[in-house]
Amino acid sequence: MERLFIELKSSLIDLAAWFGVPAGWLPLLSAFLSAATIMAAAPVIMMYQTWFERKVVGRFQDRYGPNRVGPFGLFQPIADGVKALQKEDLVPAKADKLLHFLAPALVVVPTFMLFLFVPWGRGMVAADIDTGLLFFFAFAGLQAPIIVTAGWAPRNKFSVLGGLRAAAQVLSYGVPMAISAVAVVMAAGSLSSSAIVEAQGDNWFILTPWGAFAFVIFFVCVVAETKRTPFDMPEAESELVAGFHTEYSGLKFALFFMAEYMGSFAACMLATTLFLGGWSGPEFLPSWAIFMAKSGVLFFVMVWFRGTLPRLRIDQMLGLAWKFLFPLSLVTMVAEGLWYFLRTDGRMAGAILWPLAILAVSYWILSVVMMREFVRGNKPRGKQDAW
Amino acid sequence: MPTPILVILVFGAMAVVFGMVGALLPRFVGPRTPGKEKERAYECGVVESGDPWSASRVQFYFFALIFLVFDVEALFLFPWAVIFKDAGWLGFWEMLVFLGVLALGWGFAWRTRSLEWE
Amino acid sequence: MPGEIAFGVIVVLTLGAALAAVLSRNLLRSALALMFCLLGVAGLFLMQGAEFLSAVQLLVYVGGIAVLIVFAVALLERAGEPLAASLNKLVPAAVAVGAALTMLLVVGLWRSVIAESPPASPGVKDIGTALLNQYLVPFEALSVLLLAALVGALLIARDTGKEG
Repeated sequence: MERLFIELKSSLIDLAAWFGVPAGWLPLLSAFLSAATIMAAAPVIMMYQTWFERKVVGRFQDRYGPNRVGPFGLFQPIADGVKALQKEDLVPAKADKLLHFLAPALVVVPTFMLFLFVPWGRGMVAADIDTGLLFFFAFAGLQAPIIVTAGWAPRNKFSVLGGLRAAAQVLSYGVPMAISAVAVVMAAGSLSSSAIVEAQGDNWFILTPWGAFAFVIFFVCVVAETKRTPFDMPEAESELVAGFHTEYSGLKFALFFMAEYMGSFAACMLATTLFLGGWSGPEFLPSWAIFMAKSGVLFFVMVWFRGTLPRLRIDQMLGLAWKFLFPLSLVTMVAEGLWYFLRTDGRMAGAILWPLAILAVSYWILSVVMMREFVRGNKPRGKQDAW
Repeated sequence: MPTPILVILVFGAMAVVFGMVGALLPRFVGPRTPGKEKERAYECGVVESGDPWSASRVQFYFFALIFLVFDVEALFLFPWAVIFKDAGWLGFWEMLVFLGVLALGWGFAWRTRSLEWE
Repeated sequence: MPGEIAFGVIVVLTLGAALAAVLSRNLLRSALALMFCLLGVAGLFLMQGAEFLSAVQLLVYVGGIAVLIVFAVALLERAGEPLAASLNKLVPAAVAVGAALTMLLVVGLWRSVIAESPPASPGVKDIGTALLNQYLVPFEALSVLLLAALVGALLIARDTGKEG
């Protein structure tokens, strides 16, 4: 059960070799099989993420959520897909037609790539290279230019603005996200996701003083990167219609939608890998099931945020990234260093105390500064341009 | 060529194909009824004014600039982090110096109000 | 065999994008083509086994510099106007210079000794160790360089912002 997928893949490759496929092409076949599996799995996961989200948000709002299409509304995502498919593809007359086509086509590509670098189970990292984590962040940041293009192509003021804001948001939260992951790399000594999981064993990184803070920072950054509430200002209906995807209908819009959901699940998977011990858990369960369950729990937390928290304003959001999370993530790194050094010296009490102390003090100082900034930002301003 | 690299390249190609097919499909599957009202830029029903492809706020650009500098900084943190355990206290201090200098830059950005939105 | 095909595809992508970037008359399309060209280069690094460098290329060049350029284009005054045609009367001179350069490179490659297999690329661990030992001074100097770049860019950008 545990090695189900691994065994399946090797049997298929042996089958191909037996059928006479030349040995030089076998690695390609192996790569293709891994790739095809993920390409099939990711959209299905995404579909049921949307179902899950609508049901849960519905319950938060004291209603049922979709329950008409199929039992418990389980076929709802399929209905949504069909609906998106049969909509007219509207391209504004003055838009750049090539870019209007290219932007949604490209926006899913980096998001798909994210799934390659997370360990779906023991020994199940699709692309198990030494610098896996770095590639994850590289692909996460790749969406920024594509979002700006998507906003710019339709030649619509609100769209351009939405695109620029969304890209600024993605960029700004990318830095604290990477830095909080650096603390994990310090503890694990490697950038490879499978090595990070193995370094944790049963002592998940979240259970350390620096790990708890780093996890919270990382998770908040990830929610912002994927533009989910409370950071969904780029899609704020009351402000920018639908932001940078205003002028895209039907399947093109569905592609943006898909990128957002897949990105958020991939990010939950990474957070699980980095802080919650990845696929480690009770021996009697298959590693991939444990991993999926943990990632699912984190996604539930994201949905919880959506059902509960109000939206942040753009200046609050960017201020939070640069003035609060960024310095705090650096302190997290220093705290990890202290933790490691004090523990190897055997001073366990100090090892817990000092990191907590510097983290708590920095958190307190930064919060006070942030509060004052927010208060200042809320005062009515004089003549100002709306953008 | 080692398998992981092959996986990245193959999957990249497949993802691009997926995206292209997805973006092309509406052209063949969906209805096509062009109409002048439908093709105007959407501004909540108001007649649009001004060319959208004109100058916008320069504040956005600051964020991209600042991001670039700190992105490169974060990049250098990674190789250091990998050997952090072997580097001991000395390596730790060396990194702190690196971060300290950049913190000065961050402070400068804050003071000159480059991190503001409005 | 798959290696050669992959290489061919990446080269076509990189060169095609570079051509598109130079020949396009639309500024944003040029910028986007540049992004693809840089992506292609990252792919080339990856194929050589320089994984760290490939990730760096993606993170900094594509995720940073291409973004900067695209932002700048999206904020420009006259981004919608077509650019001057690249294929103008200077084409013969450009071709001549390009051909001379190519000849130089080919002759250089022909005469040099090319190893059978590429040398092992340093892993991240080696890079990290090198940064803290042999390259410590450049490493710390780098932080000063980044500081200077940040301060300089912000000062210039705000002055222009005030006027423009």
